[in-house]
Amino acid sequence: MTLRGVWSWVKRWSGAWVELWDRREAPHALVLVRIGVAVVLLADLLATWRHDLIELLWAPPPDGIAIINMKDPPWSVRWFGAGPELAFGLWLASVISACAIAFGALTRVACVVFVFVYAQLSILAPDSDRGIDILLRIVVGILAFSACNARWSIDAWVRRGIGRPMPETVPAWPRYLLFAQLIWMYFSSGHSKVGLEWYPHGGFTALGNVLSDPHFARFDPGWVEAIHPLTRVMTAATMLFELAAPLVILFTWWNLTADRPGRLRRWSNRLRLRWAWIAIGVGFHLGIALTMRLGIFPWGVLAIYPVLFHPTEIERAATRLFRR
Amino acid sequence: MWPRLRAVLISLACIVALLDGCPMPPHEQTKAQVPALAPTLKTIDEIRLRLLRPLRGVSEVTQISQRWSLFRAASRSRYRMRIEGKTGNGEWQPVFRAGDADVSRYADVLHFRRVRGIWNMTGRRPRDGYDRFCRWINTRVLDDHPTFDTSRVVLERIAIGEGGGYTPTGELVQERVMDRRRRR
Repeated sequence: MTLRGVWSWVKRWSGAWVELWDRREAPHALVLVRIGVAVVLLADLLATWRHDLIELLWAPPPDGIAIINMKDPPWSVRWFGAGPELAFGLWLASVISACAIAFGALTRVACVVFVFVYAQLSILAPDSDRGIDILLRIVVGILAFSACNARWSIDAWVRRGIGRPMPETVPAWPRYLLFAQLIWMYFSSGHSKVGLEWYPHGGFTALGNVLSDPHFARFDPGWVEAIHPLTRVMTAATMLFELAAPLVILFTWWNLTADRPGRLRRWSNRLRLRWAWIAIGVGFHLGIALTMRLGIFPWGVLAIYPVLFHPTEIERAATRLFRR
Repeated sequence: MWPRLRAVLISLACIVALLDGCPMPPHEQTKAQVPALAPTLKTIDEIRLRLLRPLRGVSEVTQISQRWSLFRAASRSRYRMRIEGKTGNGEWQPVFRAGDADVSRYADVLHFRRVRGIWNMTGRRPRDGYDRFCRWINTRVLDDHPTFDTSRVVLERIAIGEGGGYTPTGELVQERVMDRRRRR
């Protein structure tokens, strides 16, 4: 390949890359994620209050069990001092900002406030902050840069009232980034599974083990013995699902460009691989919600799933649903 | 101009995320398993960390990272948490036993994901907040049960069977006892 050939190749691909991130689309997927994620976070924060755990988790002794590095305290402790008031203040700020995100009021400000305040809760109680909290902080952070308030929001209502309505289409890149985030989370979880139980030489016993663990299992483990072969199949399916996650980008691309030629594209669409992966994902999380006590994890991840769909698909599904 | 700048910024964000999430095994592990590759992997990891250093402040203030591990290990050797109290030299009486519906006082709170994250031991050592958690729950047990003189939190090792289910081994670890007379 000549130098000119390389240059034209680079130019073509960089042009396509810029064009990809410059696309616009209807905001439905981002709006659904905004509402879903905020509702899940609110439910969790309110459950913390219902269990009377605010002081316990986020205030230092004697009021609670928070861990504060006084040599390098977080900004909230430096500004307001550690104690039950700070714990309640941070919790309340999280609740108010999550409410604002759900209703789409001053959405961008609410998203930024939420990420910073929720991160303080994580610093004060690191053992209480799980993977799902990190994931939802990233999601809300990306939503802060998006037009996820373009529909079904107070912001959109106010903008309409003052004669400056939100545009019909919004930048698509936040949805692409959230899509990539979801794929990476699964793939990263898949390749970081080091226990033999997740692999054939460990007998694919991981899910059976987790379902028998009294710290996580929702039911008495007796039923696991009855369906143990099935749990082995599900363990293998989980690994396949997680490690195959990057292929979903390809499946989605092939699905959305079905009119183009290509044998792999044709087969992928005929076997409905994209839909199969999404169905397995939904089943996987609903299964977790049904059989394990993992809190908001399954619901938090499912709340991000709308990004897997093109807004026109969501519109079509909604039209079909409401016409019935 | 803006679409190009945006594409560059998004590309940079993706590169940083991939660098952060890059699965690098611990140096001790590679030294033991693939000694020939260990120095190269160590150099790569050092370069990765050096590239990420300027952005450490962002990940500290937002508490985000791109390394995900959901049920990384799911071995058959697990623990079952118990909370018990006793009067004088009597027998330990169970107040809570994980997964036991008959002894489920405090179950709602203890199984709440934010609290379980503190007491659930997945490795060889308990989590940082375990001692503080035990002090809190022992105090609560003694307050709620005036007849108890002593309260304890303990993890019993259990062995999960090959076909599911589990058998208690009787081995108790990470016991934290609180005596009413010396409680504060």
